[in-house]
This record gives sequence, structure tokens and C-alpha cells, in this order.
Amino acid sequence: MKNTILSAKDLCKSFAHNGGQLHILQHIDLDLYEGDFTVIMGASGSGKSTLLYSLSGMDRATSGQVIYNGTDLVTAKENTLAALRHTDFGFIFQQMHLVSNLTLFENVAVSGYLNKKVSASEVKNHAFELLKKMNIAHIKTHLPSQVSGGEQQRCAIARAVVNKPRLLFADEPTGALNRRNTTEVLNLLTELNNSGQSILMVTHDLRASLRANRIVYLEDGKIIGELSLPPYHSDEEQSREVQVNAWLSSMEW
Amino acid sequence: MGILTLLKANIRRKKGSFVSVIILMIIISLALTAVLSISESSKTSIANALEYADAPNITTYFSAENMSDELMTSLKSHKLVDRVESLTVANCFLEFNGKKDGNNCYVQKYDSSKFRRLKDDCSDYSNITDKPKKGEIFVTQGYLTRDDVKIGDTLKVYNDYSDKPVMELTIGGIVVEPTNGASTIGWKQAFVSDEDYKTLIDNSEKDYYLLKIYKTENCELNDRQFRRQLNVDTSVIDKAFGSMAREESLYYTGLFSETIISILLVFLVFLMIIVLIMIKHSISTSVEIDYVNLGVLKAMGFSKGKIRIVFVLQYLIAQVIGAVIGFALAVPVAQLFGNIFQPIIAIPNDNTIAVVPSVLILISVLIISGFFILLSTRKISRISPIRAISGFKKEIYFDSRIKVPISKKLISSSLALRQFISNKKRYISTIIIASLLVFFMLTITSLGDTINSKSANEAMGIIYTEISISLKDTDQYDKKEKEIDEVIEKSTNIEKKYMMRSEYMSLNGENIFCFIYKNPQVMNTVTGRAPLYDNEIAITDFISDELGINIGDTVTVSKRGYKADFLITGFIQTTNDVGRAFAMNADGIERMGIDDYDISWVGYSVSDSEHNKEIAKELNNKYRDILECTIENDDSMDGTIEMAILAMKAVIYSLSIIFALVVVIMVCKKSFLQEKTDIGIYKAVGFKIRKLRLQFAVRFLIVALISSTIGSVLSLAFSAKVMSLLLRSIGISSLKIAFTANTFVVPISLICVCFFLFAYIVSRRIKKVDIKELITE
Repeated sequence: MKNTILSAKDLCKSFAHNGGQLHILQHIDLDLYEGDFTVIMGASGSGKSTLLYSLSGMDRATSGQVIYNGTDLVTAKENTLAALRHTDFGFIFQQMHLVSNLTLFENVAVSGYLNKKVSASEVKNHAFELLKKMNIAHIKTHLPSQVSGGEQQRCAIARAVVNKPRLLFADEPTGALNRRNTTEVLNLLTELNNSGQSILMVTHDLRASLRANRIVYLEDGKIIGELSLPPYHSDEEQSREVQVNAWLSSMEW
Repeated sequence: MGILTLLKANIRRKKGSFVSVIILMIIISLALTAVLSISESSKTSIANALEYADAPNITTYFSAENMSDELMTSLKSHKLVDRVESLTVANCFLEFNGKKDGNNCYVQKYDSSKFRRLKDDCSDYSNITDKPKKGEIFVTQGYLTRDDVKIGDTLKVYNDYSDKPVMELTIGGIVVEPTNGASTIGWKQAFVSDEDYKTLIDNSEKDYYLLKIYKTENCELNDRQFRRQLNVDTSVIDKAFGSMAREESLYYTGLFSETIISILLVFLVFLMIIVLIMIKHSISTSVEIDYVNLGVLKAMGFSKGKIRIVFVLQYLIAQVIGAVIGFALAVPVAQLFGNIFQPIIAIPNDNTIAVVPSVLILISVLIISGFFILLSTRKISRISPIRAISGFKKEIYFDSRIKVPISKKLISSSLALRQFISNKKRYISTIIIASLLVFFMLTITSLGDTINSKSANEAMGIIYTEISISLKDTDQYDKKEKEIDEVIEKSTNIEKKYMMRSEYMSLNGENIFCFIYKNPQVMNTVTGRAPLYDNEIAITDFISDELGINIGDTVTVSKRGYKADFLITGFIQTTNDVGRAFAMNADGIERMGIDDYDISWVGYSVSDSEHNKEIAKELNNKYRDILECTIENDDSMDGTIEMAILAMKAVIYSLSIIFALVVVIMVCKKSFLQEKTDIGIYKAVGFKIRKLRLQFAVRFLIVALISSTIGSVLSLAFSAKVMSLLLRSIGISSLKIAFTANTFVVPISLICVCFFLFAYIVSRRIKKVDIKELITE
């Protein structure tokens, strides 16, 4: 029996549009479990990213609840959410979004500095370890504009996990990368998951979805299907691709 | 049509910049029109008052022994003289609230056809034409300002140079006497009833005359040239106590208002430069932010010229709106503050609005701005449609050689510093603006400090004394001098002692104020040396310019028919007679043949002023028959200037704060647009809003600190030069500013606090920056 980290109940998100309401998310019930690599898939405009940001507290749902550690993120104060972002949640974006005037090392360390329980030297050591792990320690003093997209995204992953978050949110982390960089980034995420990191990732990339042990399919703001998979192994990728592809076809993907 | 559509869209989308430029222009237009109107109004009021009073071209004061029928005949028959009016006056000194005014007051009968009354609150002319009743005296508003008295107060009148008052009179009315009425002019005229006039004249040891000399209509000489020519031909000025040309009345009366107005106008020029810098900054960042849109417009066929015209029109429209609103607001403001200088000029303001000069200057400002904006839009020419359309995104930060480490403890400050260093260029405009504001604030503050600084006054050659003694009996003083000095030295050390008298003398035919020193070695000269020998004099910079004379030249000094040639040995500086003065040695006076010019004043500069009151009391008690001791700074710059500088300080500080606010708002808004993503990233990694706001405000604090340093350096280097140019008209051509730590503390703290606080307040927009900005749909 897995532990639930985060639980969404009857989650709705709508916008006023042309005098009416545009319903982006409709009555979503979803539990995320400790150690899972969950992927949200769906067609463009299905509400994948909105769901990710509503679950992470970056965006507030119109109604419903997102319970994390007994706190409802839908109604939580901005400062509570800010605190969660540097202690419990990590984020990876499609466009990397590194601070352009900070070096790669500083981009990682700055997030760590917000954690009052850890000393500056510990943060620095941990940031350096992460950069080594991401294979970008040799360019740690470079600015984001001086490195490739893949290197930027690896740095963004290091930044996201520097505070050892319980849950890592990734929004199309390979969307802006070429094939080689995509594989590198996915391998890193898989490695993190194998070491116990819980991940929730939005993607429309079939290859990326193969890394998950759970795929949730969204259509018009509703969860219409869910697929559970065994943990990812690279040598089983082909058979896994066939299985996922078939399932996605059944979802009319 | 395309231009109009774009223009409307631009104004709608950039309301912030548009409104900011309007506000800045309102301030400039309002201040400019109000200042010019007050200046114009003062000049017109003084000229009208002189006209109404039928002020003569030359007013001279005589004592009986120097007046003769022969002189009157020669004056009346002079080809340049239209008429001469002679008025017998009582030469008096007035004592207000127990304090004797040191300047002569020529008391006469009141003529209501020439001297109009003022309302009791001095707000305007009064229709009352009543003469003073017995026991009443009418004085000018200048007395009220200078001696802090009001209607109903009683004053003592001393006739000639006697020790005992002849009568006590009550101030019954205020009159406008435009020749000597201003608070800045020493000698005064006052008016009493016929009976009191008779009493004063009957009690006079000798007769005194006020001679009014009018030049002929066809005389082409100006008043001062006329006076010089008249003196050459008749020696009238040599024989007089002193004289005042009508042009001088106009000049001296309006002098302080004009000086203050000049300083404010220079400040307004600085503010206009700031507005132009702001517009340039706004255009640069707009081009950066709208790079893609501008590229698309170019791709659609808009020429660079058309796009530039849109920018020029956008800012010019804002400036025109601001100028018009400011001009309209200036009308009530000028009327409200029109009388601000009245206590000094002692003439009610006629509230003229300087429409023509203001409009002409505003139009010139707009034309210059138009060209400047056009130049600032050159960047638009370099926009490439291809780069813009293919998703060009300019990095807002740049690599810097200066690497400031990000510290955990000071995370907000270190990040702010990094953000500043990474994009120094963006802050250059703000730094220039804040530096100019700091420079001006420091200049005006240091000027205020200098006025009260003994060392600065002395360094400038201005006599600064704490204990002042008017001598009643010079012979007795000479005998008791050592004793008197010992009274002072019991309590403090005498640092300097000035012994002198002052007289109007003719220098190459010009009637000029003269300091006659018994001990010329104490004199501070700006250049050259003091006139130590009996054939030497020292002049001011102004006299040098006016008469075309310099160190090493020989000049003729004359008085009462006595004359001698003197060699100029140095330049002195004084605010007496706004710098129209020279100094000589008492031996020089003897060499001229004058033997009755004893020293009449002794001033002491002491090391410790704590016991001055007790010293004055003791001297006045012990040597009542010899002297009268007061403890004021007779010859340092007076309270009127101090008040004027305080008023200027208030205006300059207030406008600086308003400008700082508008500038911070404009720069912050642009920064938000440029840094939206970064703010989102910081929020996403867990930075709280307060921390981000602090980080934002710290950046502006850094800007303010750098600007303060630059402003301070500029002030140390140029404040004295700038102020010397502006204060030249009041006699200071070589200003030595007394910079102290206090001079810097208030302006710098104010600018830093304003920049930090305003940036922190404006940064509340950070709350509105959504992390969703980072989401790529």
C-alpha cells in the first residue's frame, strides 16, 4: 500500500469567457503516491498544465481541494505556498527558466539558501554534488546564455531537487530539447525516481511517458483513463512503448 | 491613418509612461510660469511704484555744511538736469523694541500724492490717504521685515547722532517708498505729522537735505552715467552723504527676488534635463520590450520614419498636455505666491502673468524635446524584421567582470547587487537623474550652511563678528581700548578685531560704498593683498568689472572736494551694497585731507560666543557714554538671505522628492515588464513576495547610493562655482562653501530613503506577477 502525498478532490478550474464559463478542469479526483513517477497526458488544450499547476499550488483552482500534508493548497495563504515551494515541492519548466544573470551553480544554490535549516556550506556542497550528478559541474560558473538547452534543463533539474522536495513537478521538461538532450534529461528523472523521488510530469511525448509507472489521461478537463506500469527498465523500452501506444490509441490520442 | 492608429494604441498601452511625462511636464511648466510671472510681476510693481512716486533719477542726502547756493545753481543750470527738488529732512535713527537700527532714516512730511499707503496687513495698496497724526510715524514695509515690528508698535526717534531720543512715536501706517523702501536697502525714509516734523527739525543740530535730481527727457545717459557726469561737473556726489540712482533702486529692490528666481530657473533647467533623460530611457526600454512588435510593423511595411514619428508624437503630446495644464495651474499659483517677495521689496505685487515669455520658453522646450526624442528613436532604424519575427529575444542581463557572490545571509541584498551589476546600463539614466538631484540638493544645503559658517564667511573675505560696537566717542574709546578688550578677554579670546567706518565715496566719479579700516592688516582679500599703506585701496570684483579697473591700476578717490590717487592692491568680497564697495586705510583718508572721519565701529570675532550676552551687558553698563555693544553678525549675510535660501531649499527638496517618485515609478514599471519571468522564477523556487520586494527596493537603494557619491563629488567640485555665478549679483563672486558631514547627511539620506521607499511601494506589483507566466502552453 503506497502512501498518498497529495490528494485532489472534486477539483474544478474555469474562466469567464465571452460572457460564459470555460471549464478547464472538471471535478478531478486524483491521488499522488510516494515514490511514483506519474505522467499526465492529453491532447493540446485538455488542461494538463492547468492541472499540474493547480496541484502544485502555483495556480488556484476555482473549487475543490488539493490536500497536501493536511493543508488545502486551494485556500492556503501565499506565504504558505511560497514556503512549500522551497521545502516540499520542486519545479521543472519547459523553457528551463533559469535566472539569466546567475551562474548555473548560483541558480541551484539560491533555492537552497532559502532553506533556513541548512547552512550555506551544506547548500553549496549539495549544489555542487547535484551539478556533478547532472554532469554540468565543469561549467558551473557559466551563465545560462553560455550553455546548451540540455545543460540548462539539467541545471533546472538540479535546482528543482536541491531542497530534496517530496514531490517534483515537471511541465514538459523535454519540450524544448533535441533528441539527445531529451534522453539525458529523462534518464536523470528516471534516476531520481529510482532513488525514491516522487515525480508528477506533464508531457505529450510518448518517449517521456514511458518513464512513468502511472499515466493519467486527460480530455476536456476530465480524467478519462489511467494506466499503471511496472518500474521503467531501458531494456524493456520497446515492449513498454507498444503497450503505452496501444493504451493511448484507446484514449484516441 | 496608420500613424494615428499606432499612436492611439501606443498611448493606450503605455499609459504609465504617458502619464509620468505629463506629470513631470506639469511640474516644470507650472514652476517655470509661476517663477517667471513672479519675477515679471515684481519688476513691474517696482517700476510702477517708482513711476507713481515720481522717483528722481538721483536721490542724494546732504548735511547743511556741504550744501550751498552755488551747488544748487550749478545743478539747476546743468544742461542734463531738468529740475532739482530740495527737501529739508530730519536725519534720525529709529529704535525698535529696544534695538537701535544702525541705518539713517530721513524723516519728512507725508505727501499722499507720492507715497501710497498699504493696508495694515500689507496685502495691497489702501485707499486711505490720511496723513500721520501727531505721535504717529509711517514707515516702509522694509522696516517691518528688517526690524520685526508691526503697526501699533512704539519706536524711539534719535535725532542726528545724539544719545537721547527726541520723541517716541507709534507706527500708524505703512507706506510704499520705492527708492529706499526695500528691506535690503539700508537708508530709509519715514513720514511724520507736520507738528512732529517741526519738532524734529527744531531739535536738529544742523539741517539735512534730501535732493531729488531729475534728468532732462532728451538726456541719453542712463541714471548712473548721468550721476557720474553730474559729479564730474558739479562734485555733487562727492559732497553728499550718499546717493541712489533710480536704476539702482529698481535693481537693489528686486535683487533678492531675482537671485532666488535665477537659482530656481537653473534648477528647472536641471529638471528639464531629467525629463529628457527619462524620455530617452523610456524609449530605449520600449524598443527593447517591443522589439518583436516593431519588427512585425516593419515587416508589414511601416517605414522606420513613420514608427519614429509615432514615438516622437507620443511623447510630445504628453509634454504639450503637461505644459498646458502646468501653465493653467501656474495662474492661481503665481497669484498665491506672488507676494512671497513683498516683505523684501516692500511693494505689493500686481500679479502679472508672464504669458509671452513663459509661452515662448515652453515652445522652445518642446522644440528641443522634439529633436531630442527624434534622436533617441534612432534605435528603431536598427530593428531587423527578420530577427524580430524569428523569435529574437534580447537577454536583459549581461555578463559582468564584477562577480559579487550570492550570500545566504544577505540573499536579498546580494541578489539585488547582482541584478544591478548585470544590467548597469539600464540604471545609467536613473543614476544621472539622481546624481543631478543630489548635486542640487547638496548645493543648496551647503549654501545654507555656508551662510552660518564663520570660517566660510572669513574665507570669502566677508567680515564675520560676534560682538559689535558702535562708537559714540572715538577719542574716549581710543583711551579705553585696552580696558574694553580686557573685558572681552576675561570670557573669551579675541580672534580678530575690525576697526572701521563706512562712507560713500567717489571712485573715478562713481558713488561707491567704502570701508575705511584703522587696522587694514585684518582685512581678508580674495586676491592680492590688503591696502596697508596710505596710497592703496582694495576693490571688489564687481567694481573691477564695472569700472574696468584692476590690481596695479591707479584710481582717483574723492569726497567733499578732497581727492587723491590710489593704487589698487587687491580684491575684497562683501555683501554690502551687493558688492559695489572698496576698502582703504584710515591713513589714506588723512592723505586725502579729510580729518574728521574717525572710526565708528569695532567688531570682534571671538573663539567662544557663549558669554557674549554678558560681555555686551558689561560693556554697555561700564562704557555707556563711549559705545553701544550688540551681539549680532552685522556684516555677515543677513537673515533675509537665510530665509530666502530656506525657501529655495524647501522648493528644491520638494521638487526633488516628486521627481524621485515619478522617476522610480517609471523605471520600476519598465523593469517589471522586463523582469516578469525572473520574478516568476524566484516565486516558483519559493521566494516570498516581501523578499522579492526588498530585493527590488535594495537595487534602487544601490542606485541612490552610487548617485549620492557622484552627486557629492560633483557638488564638491562645482557647487561653489555654480553658486558663485548665481550669487554674483548679491556680491559673492568667489563662494567658499563650508562642506561638513551634516551638509551631506540630510540630502543623501533623503534621496536614499525616497528611492528605497518608493521602489518598495511600487514593487507591490510583484504580488500580481503570476508564476503562470512561466507556463508554456
